[in-house]
Amino acid sequence: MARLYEFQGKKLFMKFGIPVPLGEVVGSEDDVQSVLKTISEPLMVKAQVLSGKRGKAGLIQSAQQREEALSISKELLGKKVRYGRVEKLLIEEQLQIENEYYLGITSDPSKRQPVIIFSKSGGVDVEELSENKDNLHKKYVNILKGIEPEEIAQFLKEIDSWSKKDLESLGAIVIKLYTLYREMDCRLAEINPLVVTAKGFFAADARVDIDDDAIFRHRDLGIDVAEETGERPPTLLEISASRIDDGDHRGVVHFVQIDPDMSVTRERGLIPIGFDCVGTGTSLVTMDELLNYGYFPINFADTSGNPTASKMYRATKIILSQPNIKGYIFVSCVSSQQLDNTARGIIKALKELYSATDGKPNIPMIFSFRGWLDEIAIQLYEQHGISKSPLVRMLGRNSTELEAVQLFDSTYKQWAQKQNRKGA
Amino acid sequence: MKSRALDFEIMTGRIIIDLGKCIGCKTKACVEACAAKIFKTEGQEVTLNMTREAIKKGGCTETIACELECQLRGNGALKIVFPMPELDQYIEEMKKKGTRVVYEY
Repeated sequence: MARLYEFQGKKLFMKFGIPVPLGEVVGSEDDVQSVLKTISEPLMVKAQVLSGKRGKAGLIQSAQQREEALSISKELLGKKVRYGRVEKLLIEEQLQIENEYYLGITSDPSKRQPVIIFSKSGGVDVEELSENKDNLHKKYVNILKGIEPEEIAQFLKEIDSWSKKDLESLGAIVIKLYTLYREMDCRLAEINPLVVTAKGFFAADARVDIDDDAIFRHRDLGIDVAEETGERPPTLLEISASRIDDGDHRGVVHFVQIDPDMSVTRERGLIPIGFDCVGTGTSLVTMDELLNYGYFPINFADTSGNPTASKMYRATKIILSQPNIKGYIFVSCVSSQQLDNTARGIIKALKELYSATDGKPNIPMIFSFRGWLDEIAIQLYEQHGISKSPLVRMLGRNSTELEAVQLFDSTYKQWAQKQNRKGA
Repeated sequence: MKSRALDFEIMTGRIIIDLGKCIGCKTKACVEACAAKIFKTEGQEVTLNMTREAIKKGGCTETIACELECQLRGNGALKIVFPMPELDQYIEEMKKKGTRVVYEY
């Protein structure tokens, strides 16, 4: 799913009529100076990053005066965080909070319904909230009927006794959040904390995750990539990969860089390799086997649902463009997709990237084709001379994921020995 | 003298056929390779068996069979281009950092 930054979430909240604190997004010290003239003290300075627990990490700080806010902003802008640096801040008025609640709307796959979740304990992690089931109140929604104000009022009354004004305000926010959740195709729309002040309810934070498959309906959000990349923005390779399925539903390409800066690979002393599978189940099994042998697939990729050869070509180029990979492995599940097309896409990519050797690679590569037209796929590699390379090994229908990994391991070790002898 | 070309769009790219090379091809392997039948021969040349609009809308199913068969059994006249601007940008940025991709070694 595509996760929005807090400021983007709040912009949507405003659009749907959910009150948010007065604030502006800034990206430079000059912007900070300008914005500080327009917002009264005290203030909040909030780093706009996708990671959670920002408060604990010092990425959300309060400032009693503008000078303090400026100083905090200078400290936070450009600060190194787990993935990248802080590029934007949200500077807001500080609310005088009387109470904090939690309000979220998500999908419950076990019930196959949206569910409204409310807790009187706001401002804490959802994981902590869920430990105390008595404090977590759920209302399932019939997605075909939607929700009525009376239903929401009843739900809220069962949780606490509210003043008429608070009940109306809170009920309205629940309905607006649900409307946002549906119209924006959300996986999650969350306000934590939803705060009460003397001026009424405000969304002090915003968490909005849009369903991957609905990104095409919300181009104005400027979401680069639908794939889940965790708490970091997508890399350029991931953006490139996400374009492959744009407007083209002939099969799918999923690609995520697991270790974009290779820090995990280095730290654990593993050997980085490029990776592609047909079928997520096969992907996970193969990745597990690879780890057992000391190899780290630095990307996840699943190219399935019968993708065109053109999609396979693009996906392969992207995977092989990751720097410092020491090998590549492709394994198909026993697949019903046209594996000859799969092969053609990979072959075109290899011939282009390795034009001097007519497609024969300089790192070990294993290709396991299992399923429809698997024999033709393997023949194509032969016809184009690619499997004649000593670094390329082909496997067919009767092989397993483990065998593919074992073959990669033996091929890699032979190659690595030769490289060592060459002093490479 | 600049070679004539048959140049047309497919759904996610374009196919360019160097007609100078194509004319001398005895197999016209691309025509046979194309399961979607977007090509036909007219005299010595390969031409389109479908409107350009129909090809672009999905008449060409992007199997890449035509290009590969042309390489194997034809004159290497047919080339398919699939633009990937973000990947190009990435490679450019890598070069500026002095990082080489593995296939450049």
